[in-house]
Amino acid sequence: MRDERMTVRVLLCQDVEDKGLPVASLLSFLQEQGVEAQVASQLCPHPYQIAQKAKGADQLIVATCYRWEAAGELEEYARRAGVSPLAFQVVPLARICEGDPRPLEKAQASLAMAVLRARAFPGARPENLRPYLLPRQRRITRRALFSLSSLSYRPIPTVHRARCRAEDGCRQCVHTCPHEALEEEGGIIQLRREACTSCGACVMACPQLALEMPGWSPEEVRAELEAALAYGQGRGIAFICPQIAPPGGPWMAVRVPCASAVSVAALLFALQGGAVAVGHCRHQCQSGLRQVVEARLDFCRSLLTALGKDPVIIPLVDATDGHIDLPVPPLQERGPTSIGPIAGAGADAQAILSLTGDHLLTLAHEGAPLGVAQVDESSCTLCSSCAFSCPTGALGYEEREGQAFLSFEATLCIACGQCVESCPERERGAIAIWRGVDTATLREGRKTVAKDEMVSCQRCGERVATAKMLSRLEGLLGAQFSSRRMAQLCQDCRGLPL
Amino acid sequence: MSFGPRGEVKSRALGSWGRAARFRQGIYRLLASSFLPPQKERWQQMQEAAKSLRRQDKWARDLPFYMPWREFSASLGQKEPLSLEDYNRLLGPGGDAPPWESSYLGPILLAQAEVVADLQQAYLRAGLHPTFPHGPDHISVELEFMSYLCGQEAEAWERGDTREVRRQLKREGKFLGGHLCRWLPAFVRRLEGAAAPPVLVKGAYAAWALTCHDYDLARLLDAELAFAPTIDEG
Repeated sequence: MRDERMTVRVLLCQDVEDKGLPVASLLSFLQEQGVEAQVASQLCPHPYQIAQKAKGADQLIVATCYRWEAAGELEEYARRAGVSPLAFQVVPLARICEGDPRPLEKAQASLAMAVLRARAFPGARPENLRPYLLPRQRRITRRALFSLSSLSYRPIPTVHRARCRAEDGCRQCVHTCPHEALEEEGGIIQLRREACTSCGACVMACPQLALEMPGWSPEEVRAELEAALAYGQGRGIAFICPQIAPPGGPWMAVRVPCASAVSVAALLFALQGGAVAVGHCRHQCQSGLRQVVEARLDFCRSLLTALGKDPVIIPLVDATDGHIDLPVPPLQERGPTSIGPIAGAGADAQAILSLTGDHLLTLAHEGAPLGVAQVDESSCTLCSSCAFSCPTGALGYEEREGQAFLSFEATLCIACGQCVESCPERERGAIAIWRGVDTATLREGRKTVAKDEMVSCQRCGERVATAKMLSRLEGLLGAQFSSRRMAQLCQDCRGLPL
Repeated sequence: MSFGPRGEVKSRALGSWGRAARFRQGIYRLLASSFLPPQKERWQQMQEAAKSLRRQDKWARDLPFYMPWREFSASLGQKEPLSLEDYNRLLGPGGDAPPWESSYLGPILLAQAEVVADLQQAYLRAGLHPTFPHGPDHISVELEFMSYLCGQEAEAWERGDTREVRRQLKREGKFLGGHLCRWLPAFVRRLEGAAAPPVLVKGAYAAWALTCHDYDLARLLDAELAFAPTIDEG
């Protein structure tokens, strides 16, 4: 999918020079990054130049003075040059550098973020784009109706069938979607395109990374965050959605499709660089996942406090008219230069372990993205239902050397509760999920949580069931089950003489 | 004029929806022809048609299906875009990329029969009684049907008959969602995997891009026209 020979081009409005940003320094910085950079005179007032200058670019970054809100108009010119709407970014340099103590450094960091994000573009398919008509601001005339309004485009997720575990019972995306845009039918996840708002909640929730939304893929967001930490020189990280203007001052804006798409891993990696804020677009936001984001922020705060740190986490910031006001964060030491994945099974655990280091910590929290499956060996019959329904493979089942083993790997558990739902012995407490973080369990790796002898068919030697399963059945069915024929012969051999 | 964060409000009108529908009618017809057995005379006609459509495609240049369409029309300009041998290898009976919708539905005959019956119903409901030398679920027949629906839509726009426009848009959306949009992705993958000549791969890709776009557009326009009674005269 991703093309290593992709041409990334940056068009830089020359007028940024008047705002105190030396164009020559920006150009040489961009050349060091190995991208094609062009300066365009008066690009902001005359954006139609983009249609000419963007020709031949696979990825286009337009560095303007202030024009972030006109991204749609600029995108239209880029589309005319053959640039996909998903391969287009606007960086309003003068706006984001306002109020920053070292504006040139911030401008360079912002451009590096856009370049790395562009390079992480995973490629798109026709289904990933959905046109939408511009909302009517006022009553329209008949003449206006019969003419084409401009169309704009949003990315829309598609399901990667080979990775999707819906056939095994995984419904993470269906349960996460606040708009009921995803449905499961016959083990296949279907997207109702008209209901999807491109919030990206499903993309970040899928443990298999089976939902693909180019433009907002976890890999692109991760690349931008990594660049913000590497080049941001300890500035705060503000996660914002497209409805919110990138903040000025010492904040680096990392763009996410919606506040609800900011994972715990992303927050924790960002906190290693300094302060963190998440913008919430309030009235415009349709996702309704405010509580989820607040719980995640609270979990990160609790985790860091338990580690004796003093995190600078700004409570969820509501936007007013598309703008957020952020306090000046304390500039911290330069953040890490490389970070782990921010989505998918194991991502949150990796972030937590990299933060906690050698500390032993147990923290129960409603906003924790992880859990621990607690198996009661006396009630568990090792039927394997939980392992087959686990969407991440945290629970595993194996038969070897005449024994059955149920194992658990805590770093992969997302506390979805699928195992509890599928357990036929759940009422006897065979399995429960504890939501929280236990670093000792996380470091243990995969360990056996239940094991039992396998009973083999007395006739052919084929495995019948575990001894506990047979004993449980005997307990349930009494004398009816106690016949040796039922308990000690496999399905194929039943009815045949011993 | 104000702009939203993604530039939602823009004043430039691209042209009339009627003209857009006529243009789409033309592309669908051209695409339909490109999956028929190659004939020298037909290729020449197609090249002429592509040239004519290219002259009218300026309005669509910022739409996502524009580049795939342009690449497809450029591939038509080759001297011999498709040989009969290649056609039979790929699109003939037992070929590597069968051009029939029912070939992509799995082995259950009943499901295949249901699709064929549904297609025939759709053609009949639109007032057509076509004969099918290649079968009702052949890609050319389905694309030609879309061309017909776009033609009907264009006529309705030209008459200013919004009720009829909505009826046609609903038909288009239903047909695309129920048929072409479902199996074209798999068809494109088969062609790509079978090292098909560019005219087929680019044609199938252009059809995929156009149908995806049209499916959403038909729904959007239908929803927009639902407000028609409150429109100011003027």
